[in-house]
Amino acid sequence: CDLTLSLCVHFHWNLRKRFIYFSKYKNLSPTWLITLTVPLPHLSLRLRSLTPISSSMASIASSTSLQARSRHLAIAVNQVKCFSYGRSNLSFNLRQLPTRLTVSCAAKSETVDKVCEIVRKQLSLDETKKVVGATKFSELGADSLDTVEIVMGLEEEFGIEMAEEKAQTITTVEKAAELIEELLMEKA
Amino acid sequence: MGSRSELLSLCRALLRAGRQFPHYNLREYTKRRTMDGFRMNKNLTDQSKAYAEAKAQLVVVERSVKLYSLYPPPKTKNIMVWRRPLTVALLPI
Repeated sequence: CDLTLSLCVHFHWNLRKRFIYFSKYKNLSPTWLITLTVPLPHLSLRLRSLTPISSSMASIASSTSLQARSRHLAIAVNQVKCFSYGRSNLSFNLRQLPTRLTVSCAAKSETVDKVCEIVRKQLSLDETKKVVGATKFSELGADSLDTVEIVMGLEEEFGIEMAEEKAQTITTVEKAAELIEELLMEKA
Repeated sequence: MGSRSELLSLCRALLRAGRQFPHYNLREYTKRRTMDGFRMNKNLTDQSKAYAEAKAQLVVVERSVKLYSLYPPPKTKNIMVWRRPLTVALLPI
């Protein structure tokens, strides 16, 4: 999943001294350029107010690798934080924007495999018939009674108890695996 | 005459009740008997008699579960419940 970090950097004027100190410590020349857009694929620096920000900050940010995870930036942020001498004027907010790409992690493959195994045993299917996540029980020649039996077998195997209404909605292998994982997570 | 969902929930209830027996043979028997009973009467037109019978049997199963659990469970584990695979040495010759 991709994460976009938006770093709200909030400086105050009375921090410029600290800032010069910081940049000298880092052997960087303090410049008062406001670098607005730093084209980084995974990060976006947003400046709250027109406060002086030295390019060193941007360079620090960009010096972190392009595959910058939030951890790296947090380290850079923490380094700057320790120079605030107790004054909490320097505030960094690391805010994680909601993920853009939603990967629908349905069910773990091991659970699905286990479910397939049990289905095969219950319905005594031979090896030729493929049982994948999306196969419906009716496709495999199972009527509602067989479904009830399969669900009971799954309950026994995983040690869970399924509610009536939920168990009646199970039509495919995938759904069964999802329900099982849900119940296992609730148990844990 | 129960609707389809009622029949299925009755089946489920019977299977669930049968799971609580301490003895392996009773557990297996209830499972086997319920599935056989429901499958036999699946295609009948008038299912009210079968439904009533199943309901009565559910009461019987629940009562027996309570009775059996009053007494100590079996001392030896049934061979079908063993987890380790059967080696040749264990097979009765």
